[in-house]
Amino acid sequence: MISFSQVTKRYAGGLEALRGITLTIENGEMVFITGHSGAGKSTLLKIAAAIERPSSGSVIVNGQNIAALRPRAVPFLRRKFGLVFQDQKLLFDRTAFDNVMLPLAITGFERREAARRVRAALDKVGLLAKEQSFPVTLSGGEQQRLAIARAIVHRPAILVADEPTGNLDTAHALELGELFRSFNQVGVTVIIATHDEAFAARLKPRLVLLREGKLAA
Amino acid sequence: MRAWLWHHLDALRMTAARFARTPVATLLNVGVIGIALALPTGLYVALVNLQGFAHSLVSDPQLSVFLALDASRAEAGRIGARLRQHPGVREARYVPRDQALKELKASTGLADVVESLPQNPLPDAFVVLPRDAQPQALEALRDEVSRWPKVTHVQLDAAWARRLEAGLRLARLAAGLLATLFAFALVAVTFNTIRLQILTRREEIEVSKLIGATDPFIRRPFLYYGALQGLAGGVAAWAIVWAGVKLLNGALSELTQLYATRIELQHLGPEDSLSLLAFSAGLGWFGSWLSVSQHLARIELGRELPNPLI
Repeated sequence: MISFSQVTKRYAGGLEALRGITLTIENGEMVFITGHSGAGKSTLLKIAAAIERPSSGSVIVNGQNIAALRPRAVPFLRRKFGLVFQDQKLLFDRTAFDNVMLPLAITGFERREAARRVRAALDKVGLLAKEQSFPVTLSGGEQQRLAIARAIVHRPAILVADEPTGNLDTAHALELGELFRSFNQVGVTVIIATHDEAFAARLKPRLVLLREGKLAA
Repeated sequence: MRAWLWHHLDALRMTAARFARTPVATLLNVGVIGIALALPTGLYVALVNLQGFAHSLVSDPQLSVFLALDASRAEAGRIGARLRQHPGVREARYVPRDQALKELKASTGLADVVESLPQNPLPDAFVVLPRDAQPQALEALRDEVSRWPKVTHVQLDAAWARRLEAGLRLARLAAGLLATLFAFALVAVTFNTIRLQILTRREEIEVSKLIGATDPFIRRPFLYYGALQGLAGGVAAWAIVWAGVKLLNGALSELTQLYATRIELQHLGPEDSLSLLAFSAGLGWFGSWLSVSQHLARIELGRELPNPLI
């Protein structure tokens, strides 16, 4: 369970990205955060995943208050999340296989078991045939699916995606939506920030609308 | 425990792979470190050899007491008796001038020159072994004996060895200074190599941090890289010095054969070799640790800036 209470985020320079957000996301829920760009969607996700700290208010993830977390404990909290970044952040100097291997290398998985899991994740997103390809040789949709494979390979309880359909056509966006739904169906909490309303409407998730840093609905 | 071991093995494997990926840069770095370390190491080896050589030459310090040319047998006998009664003298051996001339003829191959001399230019002499080998006692004895009548000159035969010893001390200090300077250079070279690596792998570091890598995990491959590079530099330095000693020994054996003696330079002993390798690996580790601490902190700061990407 993730619960925000009176969360405000102020950046240096006075920009207030979030203002008094109170929001609870239950385990196993699928939530879409929508709103115009600049409404604070990304900031909300970053605070949930302990990438940024709130200026005030508290964020509790599975009983841990993120704002009060010691810096040494932050990496271990982040491992509970699967993150799909807006710009994917794939590593272009290594193969698809090695990209997906990264989270398992970080947690120190035994090699054979890790390789099995990497292949399972690649299979899940339909890229098993391309495990030895470098990201540059993949299409935009394939790169996005590779980023998703990396986000789910360590079987996180919470999957967070920022604008996953950013530059995909509708058909690919729908495919991706189905993929997220399938994770949610096996119990993963899925939180997606998007401004793509068609994509959001189709999956019929819980919708959270942000407007200028405040909850609108 | 297994995960921990696996982490380390993996970091080591990745480091080796990184070495292999940039062979030229790696070779150049290792070469620079090797040469930098070979200079003080070579000086050290030279010192150790000189010291061994000096020790083999100087057994016991002794004094040579030369009498005046006009000293008679009787006077020589009196001086001998006086020497033997002196509390600071353990033994005094009389070397008559005729015997000294004979020895000179026999030992130096100057027979012809000696033969052609109209008269014996050598004085009677005593070789004195002192009871106390301390430099102050030796000098006091020398000063005292040289004031005796009919004694023209007293030579402290160990004096040159002490001068050599002092010279060696100076050279050891120079080697120490050189080693310090080059140790600094090694740290600087490693610091820079690691800085460049961090810059080129910035994305990977950022992503790793974002998905839950701990700082030690991120630091580890860089530390391994620094230590391995230092170690390889140490091996290179060892090889350079080894080759130098080998070459010099070849030339030396020719030279010393002409003088009918045999001098062979010794290479670094196993203990010194291990110290060299441990020292270079440690410095490499230290250099990369400095670099990583500096630059990772900066990447951490970057996270706090407003950043449109998640």
